[in-house]
Amino acid sequence: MGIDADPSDLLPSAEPVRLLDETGTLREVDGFPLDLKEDDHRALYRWMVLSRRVDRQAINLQRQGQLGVYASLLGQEAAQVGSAYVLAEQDWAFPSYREMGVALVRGVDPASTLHLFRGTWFADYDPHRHNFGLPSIPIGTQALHAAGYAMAAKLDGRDLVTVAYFGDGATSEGDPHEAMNFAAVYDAACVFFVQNNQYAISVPLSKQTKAPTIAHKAIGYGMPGYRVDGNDVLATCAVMRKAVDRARNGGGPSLVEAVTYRMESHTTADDAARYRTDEELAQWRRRDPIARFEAFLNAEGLLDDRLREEIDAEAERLATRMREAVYDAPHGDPMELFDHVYVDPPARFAEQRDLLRRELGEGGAPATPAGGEREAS
Amino acid sequence: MTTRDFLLPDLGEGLTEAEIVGWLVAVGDTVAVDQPLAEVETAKAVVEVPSPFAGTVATLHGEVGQEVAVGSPLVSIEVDAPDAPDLSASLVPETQGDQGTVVDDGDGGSGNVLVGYGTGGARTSRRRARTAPPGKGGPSGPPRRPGTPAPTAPPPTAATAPPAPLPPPAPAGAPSAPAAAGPAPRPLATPPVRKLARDLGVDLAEVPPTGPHGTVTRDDVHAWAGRAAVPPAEDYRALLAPPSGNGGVVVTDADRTPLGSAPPNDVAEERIPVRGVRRAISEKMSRSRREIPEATTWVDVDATALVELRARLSARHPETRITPLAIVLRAVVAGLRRFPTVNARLDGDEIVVPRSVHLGVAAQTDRGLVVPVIRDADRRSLLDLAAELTRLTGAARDGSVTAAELTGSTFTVTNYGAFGVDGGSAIINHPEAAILGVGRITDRPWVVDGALEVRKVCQLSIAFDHRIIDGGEAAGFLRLVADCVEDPDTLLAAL
Repeated sequence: MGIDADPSDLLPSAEPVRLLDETGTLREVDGFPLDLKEDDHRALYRWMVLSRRVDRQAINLQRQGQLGVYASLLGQEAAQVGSAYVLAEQDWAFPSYREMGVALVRGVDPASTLHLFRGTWFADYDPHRHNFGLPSIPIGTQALHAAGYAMAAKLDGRDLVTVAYFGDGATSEGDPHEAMNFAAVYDAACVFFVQNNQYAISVPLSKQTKAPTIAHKAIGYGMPGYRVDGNDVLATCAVMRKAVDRARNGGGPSLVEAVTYRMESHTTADDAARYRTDEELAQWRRRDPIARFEAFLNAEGLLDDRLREEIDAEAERLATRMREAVYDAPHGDPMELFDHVYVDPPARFAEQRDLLRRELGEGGAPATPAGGEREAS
Repeated sequence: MTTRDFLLPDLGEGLTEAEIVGWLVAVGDTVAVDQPLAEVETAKAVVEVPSPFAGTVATLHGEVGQEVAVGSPLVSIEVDAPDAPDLSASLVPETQGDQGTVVDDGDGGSGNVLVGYGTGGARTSRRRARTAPPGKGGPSGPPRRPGTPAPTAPPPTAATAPPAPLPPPAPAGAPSAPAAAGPAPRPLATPPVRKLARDLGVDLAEVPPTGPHGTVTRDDVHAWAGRAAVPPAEDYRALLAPPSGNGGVVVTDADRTPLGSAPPNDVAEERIPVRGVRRAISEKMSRSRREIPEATTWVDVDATALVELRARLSARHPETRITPLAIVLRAVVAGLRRFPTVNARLDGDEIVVPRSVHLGVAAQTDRGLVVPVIRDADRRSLLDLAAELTRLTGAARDGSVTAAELTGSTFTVTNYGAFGVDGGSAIINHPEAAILGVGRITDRPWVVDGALEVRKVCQLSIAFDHRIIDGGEAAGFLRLVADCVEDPDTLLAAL
C-alpha cells in the first residue's frame, strides 16, 4: 500500500460550488464548466416547476385520505432536476422515496410513483423502461443496488453510469458505506449523490457525522468528493456533469454532496416545527431554487410570460392527471402479493398464499394453518 | 346536484381524530378541488385539509375546537353531477412517448416536451398484457390495476400482443361502462366483500355503504343480509319512542336521549367534553386507583440545611437554576438505589425492577397535568439534574416537549408545594410502584437540640403500591430522602 497521488485532490472545495448567487447572477467557477444551451435552461426550469406542482398535488392527495403518507421534495427541486438532467438515456438512477423530481426527468409518470404511498401497488412503472429503480424505503439500500448495477454493467461491457440518490441520514447507515467502498475498489461507474437536506427526520446533521462535511467522507474510500449548492440548479448540473463524465470515462465513482434543505416536514406524518426554527426556515426560503433560477432566466431574457403560462398550464394538467389516476384507485387483488416474489415459490411461501386465499374465501375469519402446524421457533 | 361527504382522513400514520382549529370556508361558498377547507390539529401537527371535490359547501360538520373522528364527515359538498368525476374529464388524454425523444405536442407551443409522460403514443404496461389467471375474473371481471382504465375489450391473450389503443384514463371509481347513459355505477367494494355478497345472495347495489368514499364493507353486507331479523333503524327507534300524550311519570330508557346525540346543555350548567390531555389524565388516574392498592405515609422535615445548600450552590453556579426540588430529586435517586423495589412495577406475576432510574416530574401546564421524564437520573450530577429539570418543565409549559420525553418514567415526584400547600395524598403514576409528594417549604417552629427555633420545614409523603412494597421499605425510603434533606452530609454519603 502506498500513496500514488496527492490524496488532497480527493477533498471537496472549501465552499460548495455555486454558479448562481442568491440574486441569480451567474459567476462561473474554474473546473466546473457549464455546457448548457438556452433550451436546456428552459427545460431545467420546466422540470423544477413541474416537480413542485406534482409534489404539492401528492401532499393534497394525502390530506384527502388518498395516500397513507408522502415524503415531500419541496426545496430540493434543483438538486433533483439538475442531477438527473445530465444523465444519458442508458444511465440508471436508484432513488430513495423522495425523488419525484428525478422520476419526472427520467420520464416516469408521477402518478405511478404514488401507488406505493397509497398501498395499491409497489410502483406502477417499469424500472427498465425508464432506467429508474423502484423507491427504496429502507434507508440507503439503493446505494448498494447502484454500486452493484454499475459493477455488473462493467463486467458486461455496457456503457452506462448509475447514480445512487440518498440523503444525509443514509450516510449514518452501513449500506451506503459498503456501496461506496466497493464501487471505489472496483472503479464502478457510479455517482453517489447525497441530498444533504440537513435532517434525518428530526436528527440534525451535526448529530449524524463528525466529518467536516459529507463530501469529506469520499477520501476515505479513495474517490473524489464534491460539494455543491444544491439549491443552484446550474451548479448541480456542472458538478454532476463532472462526476458523471469521470465515471463514464473509466475514472470510477465520486461522492457529490448537494447542500439543500427540505422545506416541508420529513413526511406528511411529521411536524418539522418541533425541531426546526422559523428563522432557519426563513433563511432557506430566501434561497429558493426556483426563484433564484427564475431571476437568472429573466435577466438573460430566456423566460417570458407566455412560456411561464405554458409551463404552469402543463403543471396543472399533470397534477390533474395524477389525481385522476390515484383518487379512489382500487386496491386490486391481494393474492397478487405473491405473484412477483419467487420464480419457484418455497413451500412455506405457498402455505402463506393458501392461507390468505382461504381467509379471503372464508369471509375474513382468522384461519389457522392446516393440521394445526406451528413453525419451530 | 348531489351531495358528497368528505370524510376526515388519517392525516398522519395511525391517527384516530383531529380537532378543528378553524374553518377556511363557509356554508354556501363555492370551492375548487384542492382548495383548503379547514385547519385541523392532530396529535402530530396542524395541517390544512384541501377539498377533494369542486362544488358548493353544504355542511360543515363541527365547530371550531370540536374533535372529529377519522372516517366521519368533515365537510359535505354539493357537486354538480352525481357520479361525475371530480375533475375535468375533458382533459386530452396524455399518452406516453418513448423516453428520450422530443415529441411535438402539436399545439405549436414551445416544443419543450423533452421526455417522458408528455404527449403521443399509447401507454403500455407489461402487466396489463397479462392474461387473467385461471379461476379469477367472474362476473365482475378481473380487478383493475390502479390508475389504468377498465378494459373495454378482453385483454390480449399473449404477452407479446401489441398494446391496444386505450380510452382516456377514467377516474377510478367512475362507471367503467363507456356509454354516457350506461348502467348504474358499480358499487364500490373490495373483492372479498364482493364474493361474500355473492355467497349470501346480496345485491351489492342495494346495500347502504358505510365505508370510506361510499364503499360497501363486510359489515354492511352482513347487516343487509340479516336485515329481516331486525327492523330497520327507523322502525327500531319508533318502537322505543314513548307513546304520545303520555302524561305519566314512568321514565323508561326510551325517554332518554338516544345514544350518540349530545343532550342539550342545561342553562344552569355547562358540559365540557373530556378529551385530549384531560382524557388521558382521567384514564390514567382511574386506572391507578382501580388497580393499585395504595398506602400513604408522610413525614415533616427540617429543610433549613437544604435551603442553605441550594443558596451556596446557586452562588457558585449562577448559570444553572438549582431549585430545592432538584436537590430533593438527587436524594430520591439515592433512595431508589437503596430501595430498588420503590423504583419497580408489578407486571402480572412478576415484579419488574428497572436497571435505571427515569424520574417523572409532574408539571402543571396550560394544557393540564403532564409528566416530563428525566432520563437516566441515576447517572446525572446534581447540576445536570437541575438543568434537565429546568429544560423539561420549560418545554412542558411551552408545548415543545416531545412524546418521548413524556413517557418511560420509573418513579414520579409531584411537587404540590408549588401550589402553596403542605401535604397531599398523591395518586401513583400507573404502572409505577410509588410517588413522592413534596410540600411547600415554610417557616415553622421546630425543636433543635431541645430548644424551639424557627426553621424551614417541609412535608414529604409517599404513596406506594402495597402489593410489592412493604411499609418498612416505604418508610425506609422516605426516611432516607428526609435525612438527605435535613442533612446534606447524609446525601453525600448515600451517593
